[in-house]
This record gives sequence, C-alpha cells and structure tokens, in this order.
Amino acid sequence: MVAAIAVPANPAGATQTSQAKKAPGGIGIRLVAVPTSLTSNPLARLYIIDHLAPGTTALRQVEVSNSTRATADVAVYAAGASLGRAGFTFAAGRVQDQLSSWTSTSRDVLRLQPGTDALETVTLRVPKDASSGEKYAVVWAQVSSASSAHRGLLLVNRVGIRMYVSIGLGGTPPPSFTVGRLAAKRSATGAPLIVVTVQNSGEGPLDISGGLTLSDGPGGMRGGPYPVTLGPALAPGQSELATAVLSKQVPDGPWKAAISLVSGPTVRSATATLTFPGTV
Amino acid sequence: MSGQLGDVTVSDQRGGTTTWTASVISTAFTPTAGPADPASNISYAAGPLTGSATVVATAVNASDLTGVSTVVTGASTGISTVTWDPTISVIVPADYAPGVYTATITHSVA
Repeated sequence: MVAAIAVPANPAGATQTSQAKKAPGGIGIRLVAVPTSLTSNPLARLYIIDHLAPGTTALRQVEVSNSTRATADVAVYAAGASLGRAGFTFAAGRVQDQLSSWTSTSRDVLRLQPGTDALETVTLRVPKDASSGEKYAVVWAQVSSASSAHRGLLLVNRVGIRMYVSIGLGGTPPPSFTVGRLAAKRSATGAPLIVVTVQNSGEGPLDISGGLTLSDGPGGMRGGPYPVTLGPALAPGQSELATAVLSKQVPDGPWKAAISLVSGPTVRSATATLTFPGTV
Repeated sequence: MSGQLGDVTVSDQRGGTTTWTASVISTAFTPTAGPADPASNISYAAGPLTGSATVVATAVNASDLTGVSTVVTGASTGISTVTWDPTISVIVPADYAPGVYTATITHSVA
C-alpha cells in the first residue's frame, strides 16, 4: 500500500550533490488506505479514485514525509488538473477546478522535522448540485527554497496524488473498453510492431496493462509474451493505440497473434493471423 | 545565458506498474526596476536521465515555460528512482540592464 513519489526539498544542489552518492532525501506523499469497496481496482492504490453521488463526502488519509536532513514546511493543498490528448496535465500553481474546490486538507502547512512524516486527512465534499461526469485534480505536497546556486531564483517542488473522481448516482461502474483489429507494422528502425486501437467505452478512467503472444509461426515457432504499452490513463470516450514492440529477429510470419489487456476486473482479448511487412 | 538547476530526483515508491509525469513552469525573470524577461524566453532541457532498471523515463525539452510543460515522464515496473540535472536557458534581450532578476521555477510530479 505504499504510494509515494518524492522530490528533493532543495534540488538546487551544491549542498546535495556534493554529499556522498547516497539517495538524496526528499518530500514524499502517499495514500495510506484505500476503501474496501475499491480494493479490486489497482488504480485505487495509486490515486484517489472514487465514484460519488452529489451531496456525499469521502475521506482519504495521506502520509506526507520529509526524508531530508532539514526541517521542512510542507504546504498541502488540492489544485486542478485535466485529462486530454496530452494525458493527465496539472493546472499551474493553485489554480482550482471543480473537484479541487470541493477538496480540502486538515492543515494548510505541515512543519516536518528531518526524517519524519505526518498523516493528513483529505476531505472531498461533493455539493448537492454537482454535475455528473469524470473530474480530475491533484493533492499536492509542496516545498520551496531559494536556489543555492543561482541568486534570485526560487525553486518550488511539489509532489502529488492524482484524483480521478466520477460524480453520479448508482454504484461504481466497472471499467469497460473495446479492442479493435490487430495490425502488423514495422517501426522506422525495422522492428516488428503489433498495434491495436483501444477505446474506453466505460464511465471511468482506465489503467490498462497487457501482453501479446505469437504462435503457429514459421516452423511452428512461438514468441512472447511481449509487453503492450499504452499511455498512462485513458479517459472515458477516448481511444489510443496500444503497441507491442517485438524483437527484430522475429520472422515475418504468418503468425497467430493473441493480445490480452486488463484494467481492474475487466479483461479483453483479440486474436488475428498476421504477417509483418518485409524490411526495406 | 544558461545554468544548471541542480539534481532533481523522482523516487517512485509505489511499486507495481506505475507512471508519472514531471512538469515545469516558470514566472518571468523580474528585475528590481525595468522590464521583466518573460517566461517565453526561458527553456528547459532535462539532459541525461539516470535511473534504476525498473523505470523507463523519457525527457521532452521545453522551449517556453509560460505554461505547465511536461519535461520528463516515467513508467515503472517496480520501486524506482530517476535523477536529472536540468539546464535552464534564458534569452536576455540585448538592451536589458544588468542586475539580479528574480524568478520562481516550479517542478510538479504526480
């Protein structure tokens, strides 16, 4: 249940880089507990993810840590975010959106001694008149310090937990997605690729992982499983290309290709007989 | 003119298959008197990324820090660390007065 990303409290670092080559300390934030209703969703371990009706309240505990050798004043707050073609993007500074404006933390600033951490409660109050749909925000832990290397420069570092919250009535809708037709291609460097379009047909974001296997190849050869890569999180209604990059030694085929993709409890698979285009 | 900011480290302790995005934004470089040098004249290059075997990190150079710009993305298959020492380059118009210009550069990782 560890979910933390840490950035150094003072990355400007003459002082830090001149220290021995041990891992530098930093400011971290992680989700402490996940509601039992969400434990089947692997996203819920990483992000604040929920499905809430208007007029309801949800609580989360986060742990903010200071693994540096100095006392740190850590600001904790929620700010806006969006999910679009460029992926999950953060609003500048403390610019708010709907979800972040409904989200509060129990304290604005935590003073953390070196090597200590503190628990903080994040409260999400959904107004009665909230519109339904998927909303995004980030809960940030932030420190700032003057650069030791450059006069006049203030460095602000923040590390956050993304929030993916869908507003609506009813239970949590399961993830749902469709997988298109598999296609064999070759990359600019000559590596064989198998690509497939994945569309999010559900109401929540997806976090897809998966693999691809080859069988019935020339002389009965088999290959894989090869990892399938996709973007970080696919918003409802959006589609993207999932790609498996194979080794250049894989013969052109024909092959029977089988792909299997998973997001939470939902599994989708597709098969096709494919031949890779010849190398030029 | 350009300079290095010092090491930035992202340590992803979540485990499992995870991804993160690091982005940067800057204010204008503002002198005590006279015109400020806008953030559109400030660029960011992460430079070489060093990290553990459990992470694939990709850097994208940003040539205008007026808005939040993604500069490094990471995809981990386990607990991982990525470090880089970014270079900030500032285009200073020829007629600007010498002196200390102040600015705030913000890194965001989530």
